[in-house]
Amino acid sequence: MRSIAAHGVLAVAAVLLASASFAADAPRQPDGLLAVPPLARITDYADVLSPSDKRALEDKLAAFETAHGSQIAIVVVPSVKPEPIEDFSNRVGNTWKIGRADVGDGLLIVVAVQDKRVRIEVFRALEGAVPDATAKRIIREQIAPRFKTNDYAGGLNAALDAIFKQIEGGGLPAIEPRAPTNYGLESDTIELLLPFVIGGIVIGSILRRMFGVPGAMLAGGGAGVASYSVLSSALLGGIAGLFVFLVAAAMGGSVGRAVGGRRGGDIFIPGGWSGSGGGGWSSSGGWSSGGGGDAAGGGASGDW
Amino acid sequence: MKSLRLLLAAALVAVLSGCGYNEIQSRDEGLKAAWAEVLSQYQRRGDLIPNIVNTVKGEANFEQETLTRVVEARARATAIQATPELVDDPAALQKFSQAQGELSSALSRLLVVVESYPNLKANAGFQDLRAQLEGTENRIGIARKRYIDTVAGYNTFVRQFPQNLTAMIFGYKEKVQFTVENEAAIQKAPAVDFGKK
Repeated sequence: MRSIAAHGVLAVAAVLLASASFAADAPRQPDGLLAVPPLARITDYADVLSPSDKRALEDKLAAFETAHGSQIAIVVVPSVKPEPIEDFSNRVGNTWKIGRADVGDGLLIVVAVQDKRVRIEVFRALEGAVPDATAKRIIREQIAPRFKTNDYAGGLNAALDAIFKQIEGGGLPAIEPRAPTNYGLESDTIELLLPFVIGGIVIGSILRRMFGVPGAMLAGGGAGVASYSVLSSALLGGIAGLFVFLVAAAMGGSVGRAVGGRRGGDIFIPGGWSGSGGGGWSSSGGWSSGGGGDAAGGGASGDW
Repeated sequence: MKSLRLLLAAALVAVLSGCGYNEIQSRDEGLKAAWAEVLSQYQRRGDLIPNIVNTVKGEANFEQETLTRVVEARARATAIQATPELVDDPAALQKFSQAQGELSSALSRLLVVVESYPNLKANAGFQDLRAQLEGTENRIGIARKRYIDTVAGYNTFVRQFPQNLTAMIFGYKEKVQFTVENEAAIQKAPAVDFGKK
């Protein structure tokens, strides 16, 4: 009986030990290198940040992103070995590609607690605002002294303050409400197209009466080719042609109703021209990467 | 007549894009960009060196030999004209890469030697220069890696059927890759003799 109990205790201990050692390492790839963690503002596999610290840092980063647009993330792992911290942080940076899509202003702080190594990975668009020497100084003056006393949250907080100050003075484009990009036609383009379109509709509706739908098609094709030869844009030519065809066909009567109710008066060009804005920026609930960042090796690494 | 010409043009476009001509063009452009990045990072390092040398010179009785090696290696590396066409000449690329590799090892030796000069290590100006140098070395590594990946992708693409025919007709050859041996030489840690100082 006693031996069974002892075995039970041992087994429990083994399980506890296993789970403890599991908790103290980040997921790794089959080749032994750290896997790139899922995208998050704060990742802490080393358990050095308390939940409230984590939330405070997260809120700080979110507030900065709302105010200035730049996306910053922090990854804390027990160890990056056997890889140098530069390689790991570059892999994470180029997988996440944080930073606004049209600016690319991302920055990543990677901490390897057991290795006592930290890296500030500055993405290309921020290399001017946070030069290597400044990143190094932030590590030396803000991070290292606090990390030495195991004050990880304090070190990261101070580093973020310094980084924010750099980015604010870095002349990056201000954040703007994402106005839908104007994919609309230029007014002089419309002026050039107008004669073909009107002429095409007039001729097309006559042909439509004489030959039926093929007549409208002929007029549409003619207007399309003519527009193409003037503007040398196949897309605009095609749209003009299609438009003429639809209107001419509709002028003739019943066919118009059959073609999805697109009648003569309806000037809108069908299909996706309203410019629904770039993807990947909606941060409802989870955080999403802007996708513009390029980690080209800028920044600095240091010890504590 | 006009419509016939248009039709011919359309057919030509279809044929050319079908056999990878457009893709070769865009990959070729990507290669040029990747190579330009490598060159500009080497250039950036070359521009940093005079400042580093001057700062180190300010330190009394700094080991002259190490400094001289850096200066000479930089002179040799910058003597080679770093043109975009370099990539088409295997021998020239090899020479260029080797000269830059020697400069890398001269610089890393310098940084090791600096460890035994506490004043210099604590000098704020030198610390900044050192951070810039480390950052640039890291950028060079990434730029080289990206170039190597781009070349590998390009070479695989132009060797495949039917792009190999297109490449042959238009004279697109496989590009020269950075060789593995000199990659090893670049990454080799410098041997340091702490006995004499």
